[in-house]
Amino acid sequence: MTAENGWKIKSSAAVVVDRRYRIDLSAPIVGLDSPNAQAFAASDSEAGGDYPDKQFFALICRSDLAQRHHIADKQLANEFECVLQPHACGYIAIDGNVKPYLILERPLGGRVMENYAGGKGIVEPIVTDRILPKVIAALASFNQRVSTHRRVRPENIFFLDQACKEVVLGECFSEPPGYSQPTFMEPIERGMAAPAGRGEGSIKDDLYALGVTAALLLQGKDPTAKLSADEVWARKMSQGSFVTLVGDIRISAPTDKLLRGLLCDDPDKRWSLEDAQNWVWGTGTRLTHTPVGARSARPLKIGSKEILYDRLAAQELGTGGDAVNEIINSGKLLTWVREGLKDRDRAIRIKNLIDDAAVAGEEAKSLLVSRICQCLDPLGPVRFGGQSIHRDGFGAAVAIAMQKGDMATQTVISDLFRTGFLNAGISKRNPEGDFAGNQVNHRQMQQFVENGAPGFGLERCLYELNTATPCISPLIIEAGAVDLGGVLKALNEAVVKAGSNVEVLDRHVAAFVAARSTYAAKEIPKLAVEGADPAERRLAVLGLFAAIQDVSNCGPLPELASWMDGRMSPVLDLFKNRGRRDRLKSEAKIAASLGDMVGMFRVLGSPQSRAEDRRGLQAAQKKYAELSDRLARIDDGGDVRDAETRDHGYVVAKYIGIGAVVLSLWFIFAIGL
Amino acid sequence: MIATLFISLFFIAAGMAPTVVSYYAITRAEDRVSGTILLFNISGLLPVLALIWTSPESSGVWVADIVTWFIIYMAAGTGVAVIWAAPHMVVIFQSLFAGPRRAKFKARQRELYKEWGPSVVSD
Repeated sequence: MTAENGWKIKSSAAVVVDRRYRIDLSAPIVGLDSPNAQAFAASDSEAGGDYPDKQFFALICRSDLAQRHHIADKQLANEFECVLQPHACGYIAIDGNVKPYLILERPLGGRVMENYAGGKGIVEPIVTDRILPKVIAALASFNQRVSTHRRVRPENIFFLDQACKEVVLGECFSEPPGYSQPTFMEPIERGMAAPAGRGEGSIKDDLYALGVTAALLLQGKDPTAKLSADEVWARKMSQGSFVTLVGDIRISAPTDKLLRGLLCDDPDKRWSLEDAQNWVWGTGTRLTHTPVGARSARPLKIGSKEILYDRLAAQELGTGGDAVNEIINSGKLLTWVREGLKDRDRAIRIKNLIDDAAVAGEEAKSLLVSRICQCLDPLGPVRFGGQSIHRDGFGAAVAIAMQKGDMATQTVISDLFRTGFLNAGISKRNPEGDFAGNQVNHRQMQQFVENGAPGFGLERCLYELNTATPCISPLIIEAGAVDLGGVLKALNEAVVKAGSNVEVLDRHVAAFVAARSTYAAKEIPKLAVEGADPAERRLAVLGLFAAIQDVSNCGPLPELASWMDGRMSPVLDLFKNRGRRDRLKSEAKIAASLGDMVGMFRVLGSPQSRAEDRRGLQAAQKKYAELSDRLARIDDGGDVRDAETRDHGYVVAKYIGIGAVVLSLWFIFAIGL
Repeated sequence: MIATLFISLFFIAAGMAPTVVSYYAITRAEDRVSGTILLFNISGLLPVLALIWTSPESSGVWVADIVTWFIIYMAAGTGVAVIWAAPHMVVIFQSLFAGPRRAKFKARQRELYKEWGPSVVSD
């Protein structure tokens, strides 16, 4: 098995998930595989289940790739129109790994493309009357409820029924947005980003892909199969996507109008969802192609390539390297922009960038190429350190870099965040920032990476940018814990295997907890204070876990609590009174045996107990010092000049005086006076 | 009767002179012992007053009798001597019982140490 397929499942057993669905790993369904998920036969084991007429299949996803969990959650909570409906999702352990799974309704008619194989294409009425309206309805469902789909393509459209009448759009959960989309299926600016960094995008990106899908369905083949990515982009920029992808196939006027609208390269002018829906109803305006890239009269030679378009120049410059530096520093780029593109304004802006970088620090120099690329291609991805990632694609890019252990990419992304380059905000031409509820605060990401303490760093960015990603701490990665309660339960099991010396609050756990809990976000920085008392630190960790246990209602955690109890000696040493210490120790032990960290913290972290102990110690110290003084006086033998001795003497004298008065009275009565 | 009363008052006024003097002469607060001198003063005065009231016809004699005044002032003087000697007696007493006291204080310190550990010894 090659490294490419190394993630595929080797096991052939059957597993039951969600307490009802049976996945038969010995029955793969290759025809329903996704690029990054394997399909297997599945069944609902509950007799007479909710859907007696439906069949199911399971997709088992890669464990080293970020999935779009928020999509699955939304689809499970709502019925989406004309979309393959999931019925369950979660994690299962297979081949020693925990892998995400999705149980979906099985499309009995198979893939739409396969029904029309042979390179002949599907007849136009079927495409325009049966397929496209359904996919548009599916995209409308997505747009209304959650986000973008980002896997619209011919292979991902199915017939749900055997009669091949019901068309549905396939899943988009099993990989990051746009990850496996061929470059030509993406708009120019999205296609130029690395697959991991294409970002959630907007409905217009899905509509573009729909336009390409329609073109491919009509032709039955990819018209750009023999072209390189650069050639495809060059043609799109010069002739437009419509001409590049539709070519001279014969289509009706309404379809022509639709495809021109969907394949418009200018995102501002591209058809919106409303335009596509209007087309379904028979209306809509016809668009013509306007070039979205400036073409130079003469090429710019970068390495072995000759570049004619500004956006392609940005793409090539973004790869970095000595050739790029030479082109920038030698003035060749400036000359090309000024003389070739005939854009003096842009040439002045680029010159200013170069001049500023020459006198500025290392950080500004490192951003020079990124700024120049942004100037050449404002719609394009952010290009830095050889990476190209869309503003809304950093979540997936960070997730994949971390899951694959790609340190080089992690370093590049961290450095980029650190520069604050992304804080400048979203440009007017790219108004859609992050989707799916992730409003990316790049300034906050910058602060996170600048802080090297546990709970921060790129790990924190990972969990802030990906709200549904499980914790990938090496300690608990197999558990696939996606919430605080899950993390605690996973840690509870992990401490048994890892032993007493393991540090449970590693960087990933700390970052995950800080990202998911406001309380933890405030407490975790205190753990990283230099020179902090180890006892206070351990108590703070206990307090943190207790708070999480309380808020997540995850139930007793006896192993984790016992492990914490074993580390509480320094905390107990904070209490100086031995009787109190012994009592607290036994109370904490009882709470630990019950798996109750809340109870443990109540016992050991009580400020009243600490205050009482402190007061008691102060009184004992004072008493001890007094006794020492007295002993010293005794050893010195006493002194009449000592105030205490004189006071005692005067008291004695007073009593003798009283005795003298009594004696005098007795004398008076005795002698009968 | 009135004469007896007058003589009694005379004896009290003159006989309490040591107490009055000690009250004004001893200025250090920690050495305020005039109460003790008062007690001794009273112990010397009481027998004389008793004599006056039991034999009023001879009370005039007691006024002129130097022994009477000697008794009164010697009682006050005895008080002063006791006040001076008492601290010395205390020192002698303490040294006699130093051993048991030392042991008691040491035992208490050990109890405190057992209860609070080494931190009780220092801040």
